[in-house]
Amino acid sequence: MSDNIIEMINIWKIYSNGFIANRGINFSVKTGEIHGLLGENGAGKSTLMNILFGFEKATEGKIIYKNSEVHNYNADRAINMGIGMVHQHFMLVPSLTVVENIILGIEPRKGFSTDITKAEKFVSEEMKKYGLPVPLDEKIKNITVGMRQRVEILKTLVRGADLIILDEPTAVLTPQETSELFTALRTLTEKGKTIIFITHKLGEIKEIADRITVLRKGAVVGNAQVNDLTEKDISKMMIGRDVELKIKKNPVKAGEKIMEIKNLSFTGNDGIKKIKNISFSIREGEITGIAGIEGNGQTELVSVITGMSAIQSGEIKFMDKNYDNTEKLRKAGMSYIPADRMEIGVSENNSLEENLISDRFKTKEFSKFGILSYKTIKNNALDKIKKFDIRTDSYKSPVKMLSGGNIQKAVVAREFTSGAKFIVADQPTRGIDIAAADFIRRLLVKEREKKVGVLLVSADLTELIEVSDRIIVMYKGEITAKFDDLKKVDESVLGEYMLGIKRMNTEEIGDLE
Amino acid sequence: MKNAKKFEIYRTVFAVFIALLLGYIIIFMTNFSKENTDFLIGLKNAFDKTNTAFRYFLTSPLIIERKGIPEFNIRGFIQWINESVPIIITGIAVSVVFTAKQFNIGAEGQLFIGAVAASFTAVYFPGIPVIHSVMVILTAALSGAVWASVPAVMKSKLNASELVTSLMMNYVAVFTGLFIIKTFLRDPSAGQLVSLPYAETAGLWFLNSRFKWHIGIIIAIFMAILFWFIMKKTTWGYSVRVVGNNEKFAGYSGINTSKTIFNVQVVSGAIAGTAGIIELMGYHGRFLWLNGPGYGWDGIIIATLAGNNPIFVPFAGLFLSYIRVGAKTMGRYTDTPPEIVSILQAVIILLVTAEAFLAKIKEKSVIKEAGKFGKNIEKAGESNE
Amino acid sequence: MNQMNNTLNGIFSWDFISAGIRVTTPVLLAALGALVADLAGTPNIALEGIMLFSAFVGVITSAFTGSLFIAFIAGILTGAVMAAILAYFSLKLKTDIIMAAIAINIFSSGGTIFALSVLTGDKGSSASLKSYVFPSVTIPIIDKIPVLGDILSGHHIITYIAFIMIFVVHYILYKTPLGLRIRSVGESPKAAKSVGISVMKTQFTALIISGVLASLGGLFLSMGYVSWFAKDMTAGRGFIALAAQALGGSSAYGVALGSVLFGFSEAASYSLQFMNIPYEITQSIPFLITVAALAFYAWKKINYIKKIKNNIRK
Repeated sequence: MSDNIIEMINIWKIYSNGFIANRGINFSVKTGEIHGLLGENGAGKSTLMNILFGFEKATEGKIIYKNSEVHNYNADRAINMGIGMVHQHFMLVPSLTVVENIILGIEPRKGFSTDITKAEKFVSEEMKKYGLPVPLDEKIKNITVGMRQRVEILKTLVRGADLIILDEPTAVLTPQETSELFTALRTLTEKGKTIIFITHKLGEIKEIADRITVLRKGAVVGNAQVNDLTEKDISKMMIGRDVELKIKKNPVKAGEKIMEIKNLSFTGNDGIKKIKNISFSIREGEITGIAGIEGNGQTELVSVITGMSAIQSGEIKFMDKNYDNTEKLRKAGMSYIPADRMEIGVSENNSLEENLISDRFKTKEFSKFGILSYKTIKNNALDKIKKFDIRTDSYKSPVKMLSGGNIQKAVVAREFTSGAKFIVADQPTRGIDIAAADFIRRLLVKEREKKVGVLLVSADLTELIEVSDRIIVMYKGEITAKFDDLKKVDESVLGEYMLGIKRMNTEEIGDLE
Repeated sequence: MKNAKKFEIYRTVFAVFIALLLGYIIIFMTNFSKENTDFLIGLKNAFDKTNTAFRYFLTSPLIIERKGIPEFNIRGFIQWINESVPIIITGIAVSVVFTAKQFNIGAEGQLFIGAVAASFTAVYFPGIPVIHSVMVILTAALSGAVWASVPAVMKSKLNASELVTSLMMNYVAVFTGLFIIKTFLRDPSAGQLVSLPYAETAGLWFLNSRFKWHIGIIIAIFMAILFWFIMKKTTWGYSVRVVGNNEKFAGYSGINTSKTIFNVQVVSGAIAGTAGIIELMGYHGRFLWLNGPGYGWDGIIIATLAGNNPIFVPFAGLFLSYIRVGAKTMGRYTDTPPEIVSILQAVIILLVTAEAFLAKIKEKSVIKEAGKFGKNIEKAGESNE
Repeated sequence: MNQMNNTLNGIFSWDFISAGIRVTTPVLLAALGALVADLAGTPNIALEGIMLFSAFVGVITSAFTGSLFIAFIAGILTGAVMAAILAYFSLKLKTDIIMAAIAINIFSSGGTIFALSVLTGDKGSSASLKSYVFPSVTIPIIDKIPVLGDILSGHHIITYIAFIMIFVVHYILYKTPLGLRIRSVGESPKAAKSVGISVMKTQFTALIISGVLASLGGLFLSMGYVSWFAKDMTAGRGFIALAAQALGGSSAYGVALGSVLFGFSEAASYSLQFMNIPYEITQSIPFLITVAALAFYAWKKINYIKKIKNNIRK
């Protein structure tokens, strides 16, 4: 008998496209602890947890829960055994109420009806017991993100979870909400629950976790008590080496204003104000970085700047002219690497060669009198495949046959070769391997030397600091900080502004032109 | 990729085979249920009858027995080809609009209204032979396009479901069309509601005038090739395909999606608009429908069989028309109702579009390809380390 | 002038209201079916075919067994089975649900004629068979009240069922665990799956409910509205039900209103025929009104979002 609530032994996961996500992982968690699971994006954390939660099947390996081996694993079984998972993207139904979401699937009944009174009573008891207050009758779409997360935790608790997996729970929270979450987590462990905490934020791990397991490239690289480690140790384990990106850059020679944003505000379809009266400019030959925790208006900012969403109020000028859609902006010389490359950046059922011309198929180079010239299209594809090292069977393969990193390279290959005067790069290196990411960063810098204006939005702060010439921090739809001299800036300084702990006043921010 | 395409063809053939088998079983059962003699004799009789029915069904468009001697059925052959014309054209129309993932299923209404409007041109504006025919067809195309623009505008401007709107417009088309024929074009000398005969100059050339084999099939095949070219080789077709595959990506790339969505429905409407009039001009010489002829729905079946690729549409159309003509002959010579064809069509659509049907076999063939590919990734991964 | 008066009398008479209720019945039932299916995320375009086949099976069963009860059960089973076929193909074999539905509609249209001609030798209608109709119901006491009695009493039993179904469907969707699951599966299948709800089972159930509701509409057509089965007798009602559902949104009451709008515009089209307006024009009125209503509804929805945003900006 061990005091481990769960043991995962020699877990392998090989996808049908040949990608290996987990390579013989051994992972165990002690009852009553908060266990941090760390790793970079793509290290295999999510896959491992999806296997633990029964969402995916391991290609090979054993799962031992409370000292007995589990066979025929699936999500139902996981829930019944007492495993609960709070996904990074909440699994909630927006138009149902909080209580309806919590009891979904385990509804108490009275005759044919749902016994909503009983449900509310039961849920409010749990709510009090674990210190997780939520408004039961409110619809999910009307409550804050922090509340939604509590609803998710309550969902696992009313299902009798003893082991709760939290997948990057703080990514979307304000600092206030984060500390509330941590208090709640401690209450939970006091009452005998066990928690797996997935993150890549080192500070949080030091604060909340008892023990950690670190993954890199699908394998376990470390397993230790948190107290025995410094943040630097952990970071070494995660990255494998002390990564100082160190990209060589010439001093900035900012030129004319290429894009000018004035008093921009934006309200989402949910009626929530995402951007509040923002003004700033982007100059040619300069990389402007935008920092911010996800959900603070960066997505909407990019969407409006690139013409994907209409301007509601305020003004955007691209080289002194107004534009109202992506088509015209692109014609005028804008390129855009979107954050969501599968959804927006490519058409996965079209061939690679066709994806590489989507913004320029009407130009003389690729068509004459409305007829496509497939010879140039093919040559263009072969050229890009070579220059950008896109690995594919054939230029005619549908894009969905490519791996994530190669799809990103295809997007980049297209966007960096359009002869743009202005590039918007939204999370350009998210989820791709280190070599490819490095390649893309260098390209951004190279474009800057060619007097191209760049707007870089990235959650990777090291990248942001290394690549940008100046950084603007967005918090709750506003600009709360600006840094011109990035030698003096590090992740923790940025973090304080991103989390809203600090904010500069108007004078400190100064000139945003 | 080749394997995946081959698989689609196998699956289509297999679906057709299952449908035919099911058809055989149904006909056998209806025959057997009518037998009230001894079980074995009944069984034998039912088999004989079913076999006879099936022989008519499968061979009569090409071969017919006269006085016990099989000979080429010229009448059946021409009927087969002629009947395939309107459904090939609607099949092209549906392929084009489905490529953009627009479920505008208004081809039925578009071809009806197109035929009504073109009947005006055909009756009242006699002119120079070829030019007049072209004008009639253009009138039909224009009216079909206008009719299709209603759901198209509602979709692109108001985001109202083109599926429901186009369905409603089908009914409006038939009622309005009949009203127009009755009020302005009715032939008072005819017993039932038909239009005045078309002017001499508004006909199509005959390839065989005895059985009225008109050049519609050449027009239809020409249109299939034309639209295959347009969809695969032009910037317009590229836009349509990209919008259909990933509308967000299209917008991101700078393609005007709402314009494309509007245009593709209108173009499809123009194609569908001509489907009916070509048959009326070539064969009947006047408007004589009292109801929607159903070609719009056939177009959906054909487009599905052809995988929305216009170049395959003529084959699918000829296939459907073949079993239809076969079924009609079967209905004439035996007591099996030709409507059995609808059941076969339904089964074919269900199986051809069922992604998971025979998917295990597909998986194997795709994995074979992916296997190569997976190794490439592995190699790539290694070289990164 | 006189004629005008007659028409107005026609439109505003109690007979007109009765006619409106009668015409609304099949559309209402199918539209409620459309609602259940749509909320589950599996739009049922096969309502037309399901209604038609149920109408056919009801008539044939009643003619061959002489039992209304068996006919009723057979009709409903037909609806359930056809919906199950749709569900099996779309959910299990991953046929596009719209294509599968189109196939079912084609099957019904031809299959009913095939079966009719095998069974009776007639391809147009079942008039040669002696089939039965479900009874009308006179509500005691209420039928004695003037005006109200004319409106409320004496309708066909399926009409009453249809109007009761508005509340039943509302209850199922918003007050029962099944309804909760249906709504969650339609809106956010991932969320439903994450709490162990089988998306497929729930959608299967929703489709079968929608099939049963549509089959009631079909039975009404051939065993109430008229007393025989005729080729393609649903005449687009299953499609109109989709439009009625689109108008009514996610509420059973809204869907009922959408159906009533259609029912009464069709009833009005009958009345207008007395005004010498050609019947082809009057017959297209319900469809035109539906298109107009859809456009208006979509336009309002767009404006509503704009308005919300404007208000916030102020």
